[in-house]
Amino acid sequence: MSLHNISYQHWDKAHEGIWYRRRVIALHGIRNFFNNWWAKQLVIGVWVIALAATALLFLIGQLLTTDNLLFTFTEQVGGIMQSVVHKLKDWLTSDMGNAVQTTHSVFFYHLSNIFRFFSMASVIFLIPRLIAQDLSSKAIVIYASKAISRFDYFLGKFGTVFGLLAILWIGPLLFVWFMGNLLAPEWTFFWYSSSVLATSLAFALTASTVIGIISLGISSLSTKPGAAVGIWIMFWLMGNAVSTMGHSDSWIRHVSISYNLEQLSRYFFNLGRHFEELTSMIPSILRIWGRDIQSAHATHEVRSLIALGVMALIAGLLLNYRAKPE
Amino acid sequence: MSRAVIQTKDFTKSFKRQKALDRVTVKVDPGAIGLLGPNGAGKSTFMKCLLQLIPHSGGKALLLGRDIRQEGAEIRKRVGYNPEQDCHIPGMIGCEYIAYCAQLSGLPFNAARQRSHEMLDFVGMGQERYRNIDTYSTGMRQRLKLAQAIVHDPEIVFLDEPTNGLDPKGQAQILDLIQSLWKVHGISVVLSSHLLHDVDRICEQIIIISQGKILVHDTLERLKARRNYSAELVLKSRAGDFISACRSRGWPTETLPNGRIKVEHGTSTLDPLFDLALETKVTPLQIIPSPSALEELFVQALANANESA
Repeated sequence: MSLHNISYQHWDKAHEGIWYRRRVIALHGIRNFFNNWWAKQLVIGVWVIALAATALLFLIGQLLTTDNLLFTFTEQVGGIMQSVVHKLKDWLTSDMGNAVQTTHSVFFYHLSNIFRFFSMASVIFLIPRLIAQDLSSKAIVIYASKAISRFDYFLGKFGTVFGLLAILWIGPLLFVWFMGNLLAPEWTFFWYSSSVLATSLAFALTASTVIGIISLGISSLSTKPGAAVGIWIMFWLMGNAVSTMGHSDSWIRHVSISYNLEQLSRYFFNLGRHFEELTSMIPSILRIWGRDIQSAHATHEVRSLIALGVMALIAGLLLNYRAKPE
Repeated sequence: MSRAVIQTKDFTKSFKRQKALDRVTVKVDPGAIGLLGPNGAGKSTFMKCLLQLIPHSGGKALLLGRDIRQEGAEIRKRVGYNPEQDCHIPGMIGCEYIAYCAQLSGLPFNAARQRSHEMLDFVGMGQERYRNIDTYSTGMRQRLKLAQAIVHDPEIVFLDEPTNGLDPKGQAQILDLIQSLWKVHGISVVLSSHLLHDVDRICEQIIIISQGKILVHDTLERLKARRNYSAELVLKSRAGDFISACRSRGWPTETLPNGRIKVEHGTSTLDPLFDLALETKVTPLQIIPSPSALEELFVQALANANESA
């Protein structure tokens, strides 16, 4: 009997369900992402930032204690930082709930924007491996011949982007919030900042969904993975450049995904109101901010939402049209 | 009676005005099925439409008794496909790739890993399974494609030109494996090829397709029984006498441009020709039987189709 007669066995056990197969595609993409050295550095960078942010939250919380490191440091340095820290300490002591919610809102708004930048940068490393590589290598034929529909394939690939953004954005955000509050002197910090966490997650999930769909659409535009990267960078950076050409009320500003997400984040975090409150309690903040309070308000959140919806719709249509086995 | 593995009715695929499949109606029983046709005949299109890799334009098709329009994913659980072109995922290790394909078919992680190694053993891949696929030779890639097509233990496997680019030894090995799929393991095989020898060697049923139409569908045995047996002879001398003797026996005979004499003797052995040569005292220098029965059938079917067109 030849070797192949011995080794072939029939498979008679139960198959896993469709969510398993979608997860397999998603995890395969994430594993591939981590094969890139630069991509790994990016992830490390994000988590270093998360640790630094946790440390900063810890120091802010410690203002309620007598021998706080931040307080001692700014006492020695003096200047505007000393004034800010003094005012913040007074505010935390007199009205802890309001102070925590406001400072955390402004803090997590900035942190979310940092993570958003890193997430969009990470797509540079991910985008060639999403759809473009499957089109160029014809691997899409193999996917199509297996027991998964095109929708399952798209969902699996979307899971890759979403999973990655969870590692680079949602995960660090949760970590900072949890550890920052865990290390705070009062357990009530958890309660006071819970709405900020909900806001941060809502924005992160919305933005991740939009970035996920758009990156899939762009990845399907070219059969050359390098070209897909180029298109993403063009879309991201050129969009920003074009956006700045329009006046503040112009629709052209909404060609930039960054501008639209920025507007949405201000709306989600209610940045204008929180910033007004923060500056009323700590006026010196305005000198650090360097801009007027008005610029903290979201002005075109509805337009931005529409613009992001249109971008996602176009990306979805492109994906549906382009990502086919033949 | 066994259930048909493929059943189509007026199955049509059009690319704009060009009909790649023209109202194909066929019922195919389980077994090793050879799909023959010249390049561009519609063989690959037929397979791809059945697997729904490309949408068909009209008609109905059942694969393993299920409607391909309604139960596509369920069908693909039970079907394997070995595409003609390279379709691997770049940068992957051979055994990881097969395990990944098994997982895509729904096998749990551990089972997928185990079965990937079993399949790589089956297709005769050794330690090279731990290498990056990008470094594989054509032969290794063909084996890998076969392994991914059967890793989930399908009931039927579609093989599109699986011996392309292989050396004769590699071809023989792959054909042995394919043959064992049906004969030993009971997995139906649809082998699309323009290499008649491959099909002749392993298939029991033949479908000849040309210009999107099925010209012939029957068992190889029955088709062979239908053929006109012929042979070509190279004679030293007295060719005219021999031709006259053949014609007197009612055998259509002609002299070919290369000087050989083609005789349709109508029997499965060459004995009548030898007897006639003895009788007429003609010394044949060479007697060449029809090189391949299938080739003859194939050419005949195409010729008939062209005539009727």
